[in-house]
Amino acid sequence: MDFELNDVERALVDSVDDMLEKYAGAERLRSVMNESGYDFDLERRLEDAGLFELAADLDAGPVATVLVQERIAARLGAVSYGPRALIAPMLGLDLAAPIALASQWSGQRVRFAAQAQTALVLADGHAFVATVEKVSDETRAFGFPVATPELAKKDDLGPEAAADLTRWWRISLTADIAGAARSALWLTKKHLTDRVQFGQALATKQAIQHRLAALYVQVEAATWLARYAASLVDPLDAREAAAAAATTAVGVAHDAIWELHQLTGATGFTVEYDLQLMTMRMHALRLELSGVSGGHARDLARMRWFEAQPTTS
Amino acid sequence: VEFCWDEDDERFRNDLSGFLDRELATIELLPGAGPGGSEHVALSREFTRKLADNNWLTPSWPTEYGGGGATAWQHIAMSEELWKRGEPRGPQYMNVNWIGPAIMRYGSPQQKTYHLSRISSGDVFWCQGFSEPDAGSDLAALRTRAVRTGDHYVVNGQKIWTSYANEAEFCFLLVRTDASAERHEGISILLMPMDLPGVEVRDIPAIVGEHIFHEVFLQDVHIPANCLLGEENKGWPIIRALLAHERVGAPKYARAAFVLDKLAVMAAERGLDADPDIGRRLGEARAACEAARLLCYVAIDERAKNKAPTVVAYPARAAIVRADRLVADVAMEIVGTDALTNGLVDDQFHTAFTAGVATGTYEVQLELISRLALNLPRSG
Repeated sequence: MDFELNDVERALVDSVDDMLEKYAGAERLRSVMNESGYDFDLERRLEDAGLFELAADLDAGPVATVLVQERIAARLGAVSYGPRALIAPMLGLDLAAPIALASQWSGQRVRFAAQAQTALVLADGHAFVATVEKVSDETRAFGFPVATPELAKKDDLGPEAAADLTRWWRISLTADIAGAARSALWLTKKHLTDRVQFGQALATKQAIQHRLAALYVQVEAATWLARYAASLVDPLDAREAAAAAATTAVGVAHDAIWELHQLTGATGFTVEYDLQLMTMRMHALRLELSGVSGGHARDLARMRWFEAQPTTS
Repeated sequence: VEFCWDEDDERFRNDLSGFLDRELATIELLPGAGPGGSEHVALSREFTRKLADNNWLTPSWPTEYGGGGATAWQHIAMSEELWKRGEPRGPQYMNVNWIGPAIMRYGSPQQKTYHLSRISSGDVFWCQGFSEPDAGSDLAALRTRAVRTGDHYVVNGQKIWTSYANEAEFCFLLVRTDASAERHEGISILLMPMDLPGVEVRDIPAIVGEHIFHEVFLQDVHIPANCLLGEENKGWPIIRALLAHERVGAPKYARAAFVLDKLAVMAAERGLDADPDIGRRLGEARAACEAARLLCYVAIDERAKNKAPTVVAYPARAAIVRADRLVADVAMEIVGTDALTNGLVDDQFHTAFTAGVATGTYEVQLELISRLALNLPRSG
């Protein structure tokens, strides 16, 4: 057991932070959203640094990949990192990137659908590789582009791969939510520390402090659960742990969206203010895999207690 | 980052688990009367001696004090296995976790000789004389007065919410020995025998179980001066150091997760396994137990590395409270009105009730997170 980053992980995270300092952030995200909707430049730099190869690297592995994904999410990188760096490699796939994730063949809003070369699809209890035939209704209002694709089946990977895809998707979206929530929390903390009302900074009020602290606990929980779920080898334990992570992440998204906007006030609703870039991402992420309607939690209960075999969403 | 248990730690847990399963085979759940109830007390005394006889009581103590030198990870594994089974050591978990170590670190040779062998043989109950009517979360406001008179301290005051005071042979008593000093100074620790004249224990009937709470009245109690632990007026730093790790010393998430497994069986028996609402609530409660476990491990990691405690124990404690409450909530949903009489569910309800109050309130944890993790400004 070791809950500190080792030297490799520390060096990795530091180098990613350096890169993201220059090639990510709210301003850059806005600029990317006004153009292609995908930060191909950041993707190339991540590629050149070998950061899409970490999952299979014996010195790094999936936990290190999750650490990198947390950082990219926290700095609002406009790339589909998790699917390419974590999910596809852990399924033994080498797919054309960017990669989108879908759980329906059509009629569903999907992150980066318009920019994706490939899609991984979870449907009918199987995992599939698919191509994006066409997209409609693209919007850039959720901190990344979201569109409705029509997907064409390419390879059926089977039911076992579906369970694995579900696992890694959950871990990936947990890392995305945890990263975004952490940044949103600190942004709100800064706002509340700077904002003076009734002669005092709002952050001096205990009623406000405790709400931030309660969210902090949940962000820490989601962060560690994602890392833990990525570390497990036994597939049944791992799937359960991933569902626990995603269950927690959906709760984090719920609390962060309500609480941080409430505490930020009207400023938080403006496009100009950065908070919405984080919270709208969380809003979209929590909907995936029926998370917001309890899909992760129910699956966790089924896997742990009520079924010999795990199910997929 | 590494989440694998060390082979030795895993073997330690398996060996202990096997021992506990054998020894507690006939006691699946502890009686619901509460940890201060007579059944609990009798079980605790008998079982803790058995643990001691088989070298399972103080394995994490240094070998020089009769321990096994077990690691911090083995210590938490032991605590998890015991809490999962309803903590059959009763109050003696405190002896092992921090009272014994306090005496090792700050005690006189005589105190070590006298107390440590009693603790490690599972023969003694201690209670903690901390809270007072006007000193709860704000412990440094304590007013119980101890005046040195010759070779004794004469103690007057009152302690409250003192669990196990009805059964304890000793009290780890915080007293004020210098009333003129700053509030965090002038506090001392006395290892008080409970059978001294002037010590009166009164039960406080409570809705969370029998004999849970007591008041301890101290009237002209003459405590021998050699019962002072450490230096006079230097008790506060000792308490802070001792209890820093104790926020995660009782891994209640292990019990909550165990109860949850039982609840899932009950849900299936009642045909609720396909109920989507119950499934969701069970899953959310399970996730909360896992969250609490991992956040506690972050704190244990600090201890394992002998690092000074940072803020990590506070989120862990807050997460334990949340897990306990979610398990209690889903328990009630599964059994309905049977919750009022079902021992397992009723126990969990009581546990969750007190979880956010005992050993530092939930709000204190949030306060500490606000200040030390989020660096939020103090109220002007």
